[in-house]
Amino acid sequence: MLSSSNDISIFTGHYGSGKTNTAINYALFLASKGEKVTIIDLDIVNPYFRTSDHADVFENMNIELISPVYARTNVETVALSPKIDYAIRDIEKNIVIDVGGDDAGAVALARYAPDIRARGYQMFFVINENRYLSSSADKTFQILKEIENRSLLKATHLVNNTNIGKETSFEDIALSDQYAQEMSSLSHLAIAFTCVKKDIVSKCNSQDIFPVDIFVNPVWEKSNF
Amino acid sequence: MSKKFLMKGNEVIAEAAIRSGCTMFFGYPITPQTEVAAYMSKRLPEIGGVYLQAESEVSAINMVLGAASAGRRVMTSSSSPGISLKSEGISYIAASDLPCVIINVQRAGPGLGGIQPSQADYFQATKGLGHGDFHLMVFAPSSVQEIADLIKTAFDLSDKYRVPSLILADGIMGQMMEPVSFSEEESTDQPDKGWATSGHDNKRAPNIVNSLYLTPDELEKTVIERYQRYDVIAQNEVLFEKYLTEDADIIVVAYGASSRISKSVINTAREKGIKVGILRPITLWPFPTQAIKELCKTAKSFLCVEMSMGQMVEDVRLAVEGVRPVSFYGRTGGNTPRPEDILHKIEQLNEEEK
Repeated sequence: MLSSSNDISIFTGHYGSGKTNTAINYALFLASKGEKVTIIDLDIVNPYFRTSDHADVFENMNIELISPVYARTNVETVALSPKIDYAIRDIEKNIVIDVGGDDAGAVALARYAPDIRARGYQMFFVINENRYLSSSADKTFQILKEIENRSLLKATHLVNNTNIGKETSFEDIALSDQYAQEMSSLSHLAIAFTCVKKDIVSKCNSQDIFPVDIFVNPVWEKSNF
Repeated sequence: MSKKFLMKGNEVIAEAAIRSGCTMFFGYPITPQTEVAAYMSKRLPEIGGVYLQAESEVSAINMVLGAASAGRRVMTSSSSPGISLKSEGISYIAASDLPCVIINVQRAGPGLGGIQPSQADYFQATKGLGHGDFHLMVFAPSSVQEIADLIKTAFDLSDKYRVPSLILADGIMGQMMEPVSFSEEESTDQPDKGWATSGHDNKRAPNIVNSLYLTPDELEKTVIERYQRYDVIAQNEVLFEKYLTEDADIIVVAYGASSRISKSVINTAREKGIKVGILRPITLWPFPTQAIKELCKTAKSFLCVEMSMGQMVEDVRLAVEGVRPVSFYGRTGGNTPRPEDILHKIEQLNEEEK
């Protein structure tokens, strides 16, 4: 699933499931393969902790970042840039889209749905068993349906991003297997990959592991001084 | 050990309230606390509670007054400008001796200010959240787990003393995600509210909840009695945390998000040979005056770190009573102090003391 392709990769899910961190890692992965990558911050819900916070990371990897016009300012109306329309139609560009949480965030996708469908896309639905309101496959499946209804697009894969923040152990991830499988059979979607923090990745020998760095962090866990 | 979830501060405010027996929520949306209301709107109907989005903050706080009068566990939530709007109602609630929990997930001010995190409502929360002589109990969590624990404390103590509780959080606390586990025990230890206007069924005299007194003497007597209760609270309910303070020359005083940033610096400073520790007030009213006073015996100086132009620093100076120098470092406008800047300030203070 992690093969490079000139496609549109959309990350949706329950809010707080880890879409932003997964999308950043996925964009970096594509760029490391030599792809020409554009990441679109389509989050119209979250005021803090967003893809646009990591402009320096993208710049270092020659990834183009398209942010909402007023992202990271005090203007609460997150206006979407016309650059998004151009990027989605530019087949030279490998597009990664980070969508806001739940159906409230997914609604922003709908206006681009015709162009996205015309070009072809993969839509990852990111799941985390340790999120309180999506802690069962039934509840998570309900959120998936709501997101599909509002975005006018269908999820094509699941991403198991079960974690408990920096404390996450490999056992936590292994324990989530049953939940992920239940989600898979409810939704008839395959699990594209399971995100694992790079520092615990050596403990695992599964095939579909996606090693990730944690970018979305409060300030006191960021600084190296 | 109960199961750990990864939750946003705002979600935990709501979930912990429900687990503490809160069945009613009245609010109005405002960034960065909207997830509290959104969560309540999903969960309260599931448990037979009432969620109502009012037409304004003023309406919401008066609905809180009504529900509290009827003896229900009730909460409202807002962010800085919305709390200013609620202040008239909060004064009425305090004057009516009603228990409730009020949430302020602070953003930058004054005025419409901005949506980024701030701690510039300290004065408002601890000195004057409305007109008249009164106090709220003010709790300042510094982690998502502590939010879960303090919400229950805030409800229980509010019922016990019939004094409203305020959770003074900030945008970072509201928006950040951390692991949290909830206590398995059900919170049913609500005291009997014989004063509530919950219907007398012709079996007792009607209860009256009121904040109007017809004579100055009557009002003065009521206020003095209320202040006697405040004295009991100040004696018994002060909460704070100390970290590496025993041998410290420099004591950092910080609460909420700025205490998290400050704490991340303490060990680095220690590695550089600087004897520094931190005192973190958990209750801002009552303030840990005595604990700070005690530290004057061993510490050479104090540094207050806030996301404001310097507000809590005044309470630190009052506690220190001029015996030790008290410095301040802060950022405002929605900016947060960076760990390296706090470290630099500590190094400067250490140099000056040599």
